[in-house]
Amino acid sequence: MKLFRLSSLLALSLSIVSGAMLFSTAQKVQQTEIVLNRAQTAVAQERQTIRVLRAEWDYLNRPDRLESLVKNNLEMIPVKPEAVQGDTADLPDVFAPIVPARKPQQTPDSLPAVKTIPASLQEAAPSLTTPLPKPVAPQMPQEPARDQFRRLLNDLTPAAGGETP
Amino acid sequence: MSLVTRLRKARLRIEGSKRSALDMAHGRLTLIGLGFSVLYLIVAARVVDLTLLQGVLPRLNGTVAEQAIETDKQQIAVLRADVTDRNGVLLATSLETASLYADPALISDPVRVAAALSKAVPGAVYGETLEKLQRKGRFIWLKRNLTPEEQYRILEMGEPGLQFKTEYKRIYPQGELAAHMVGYGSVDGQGLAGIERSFDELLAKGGKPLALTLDIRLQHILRRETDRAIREFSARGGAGVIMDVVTGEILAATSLPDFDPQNPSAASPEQLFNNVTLGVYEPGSTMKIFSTAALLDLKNPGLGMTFDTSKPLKVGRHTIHDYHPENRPMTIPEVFMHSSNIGSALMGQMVGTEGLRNFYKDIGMLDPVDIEISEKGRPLAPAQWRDINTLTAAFGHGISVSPLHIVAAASSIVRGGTLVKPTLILNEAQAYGAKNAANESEIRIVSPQTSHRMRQLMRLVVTDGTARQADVPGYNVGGKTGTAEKIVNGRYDRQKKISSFLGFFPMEAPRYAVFIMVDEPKGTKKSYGYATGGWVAAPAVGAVIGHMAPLLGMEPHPLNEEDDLSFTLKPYLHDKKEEGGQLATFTTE
Repeated sequence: MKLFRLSSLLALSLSIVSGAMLFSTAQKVQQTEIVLNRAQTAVAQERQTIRVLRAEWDYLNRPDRLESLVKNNLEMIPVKPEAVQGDTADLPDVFAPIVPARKPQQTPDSLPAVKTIPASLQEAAPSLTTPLPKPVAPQMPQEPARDQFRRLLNDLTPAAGGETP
Repeated sequence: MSLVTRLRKARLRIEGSKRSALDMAHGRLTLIGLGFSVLYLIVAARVVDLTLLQGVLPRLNGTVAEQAIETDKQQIAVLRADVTDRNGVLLATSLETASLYADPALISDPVRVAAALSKAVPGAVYGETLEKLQRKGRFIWLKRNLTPEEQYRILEMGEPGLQFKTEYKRIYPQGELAAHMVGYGSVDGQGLAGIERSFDELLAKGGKPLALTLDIRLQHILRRETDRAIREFSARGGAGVIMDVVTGEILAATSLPDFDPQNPSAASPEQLFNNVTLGVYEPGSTMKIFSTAALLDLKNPGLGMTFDTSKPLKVGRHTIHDYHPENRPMTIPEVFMHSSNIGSALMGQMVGTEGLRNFYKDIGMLDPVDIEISEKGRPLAPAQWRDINTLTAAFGHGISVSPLHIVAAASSIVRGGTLVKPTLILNEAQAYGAKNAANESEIRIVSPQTSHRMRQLMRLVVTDGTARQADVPGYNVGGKTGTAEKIVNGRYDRQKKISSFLGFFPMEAPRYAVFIMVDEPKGTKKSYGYATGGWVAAPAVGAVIGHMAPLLGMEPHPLNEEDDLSFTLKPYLHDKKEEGGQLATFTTE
């Protein structure tokens, strides 16, 4: 009985190698599927978050809410019909200067009037070399979407709403 | 020393007949050994697979369990479509919420769980919950659409018998603002009213949002001003409509009192009732728009034709009075401007019963209004028109229609004489304000000449007549007031009125119709006790126009007196100063 002929050994090792390859491929597919599913879940969750944020955005932008906010916090009123002009020719010719003319400064009698700008003030004037102030990063809402969702729902659901089917 | 050499040594030692048996045994042993080692290898490989490949690697990658993903996919498929206004602002949307159910078989101590639940969830009554938890079965709804806070409190209890199911809840971010038009749905997401009901199947399929013609900015202005008029005159309710007369698009429609579509079960029947399309009322003098148009179009009389309004009109056992008796003959513009019932009744008589009835039928006054929501009121008109019906119908009594009927029909007359169909669904192929191709109606109701005359007459009502408070300088408002007495126990009650005003602007080329109706207003000191359309609804419409026109970027066109539409009608007005006055310059056409 020739159990360990070269050909059998070859066949055995081939089958082991191919089995291992199949195994590793199957593993790769599984891993990739998990990654895919994770991405899909993330997309679905992101979509859901967008829906929640959109609903909250439109909820917070209700006209009556904006109206009361504007009334309480801004010095603005709705445009009146008289303020609408279709033709620039109808506008008054003279505009008030945007920067009002500076009033002559009153100097106390004890101090001599300054005729020329002192060197220290001249230097303070902005030049090209002066670094511009850093733009302030717009504040992004840090609150997780879940919290906003909860707040929206709590706002919408009446406190005494007992709907137990 | 290998296995093979050892076997050879064995062969050397053992000879004879027993050799073959021994050989066979060796072979078998080797095979069994090999078989076991293969089995052990498989087990080892599987252990590596389970512990390292499937256990540790996914955790390193941070992958999530696959079960959750399956359910997520299912839920996205059944998501109900959004409803938006014409600018894409959400009117109704669906959001994910958790609903609580119990599996009584897993609850060992119902009394304790019920007590904890009634504490954690505001709506849960202890006794009711306890009864539910003791039932036989594996699935009992406890509360649908929990708020996240409630869900958190329940999770904290750690009770295995309480489980959650993800559901979608319909959210109406604009609240009551457009409640009657958008409608509302049941807990199971079925549309019960408004657009939610009439487009239930389409919305249930999900997909693209359904855009309505409403503009929430205008909706807010209209609701605010209608509400203000209702409060100021201590009225019961009201309705308002803003319609684009060119396209037929309804830009705003409000019915007050209204309700929160989030919780329709808490609303009273009055709140749920849609005054704009479902309610039918005797419109009163706004109906004179149609009887006058019918007379001008069918009989083509000169505007100088006079009607004797000096004494109440007696027909059979009925007597028709004027609200503001002028006690002298009146020309057609005067009848319209002063809103003379006697004059309009006489006009109706001239048109004739058949003529007036057919005219009303043509402009849609006798059929339910054609609109995309299912709450539509059927007009109440006499089954058999007698001559007295013609007389009363000419000034808006004895026939009941919905506010939208009045707006749509008057728009048809004012826009040039062709029928316009009101619509709530935005044709998205059209830009804002573009002509709606479907509404390029060719059904002619009145001639362009009559349409122009009616514009002039309606402008006259605002410049010289009952609705002076509706004027907005530059936008040249025109319209007609209406004050109808309500029928209480079969009799007209003088104290209970429905006051309305239908305005159009700009009158040179009407673009928008604004209608406000107030139910049972009571006169105030400021209005000298009057609660008529001119005092109640006309100022409200004026305020709406003053706010909406700049919002829509409309340019005002202030006109000189001679250029005003109503100017050509001035010669037909009697000089009030002279008693029983003569016409200033009387010409017959």
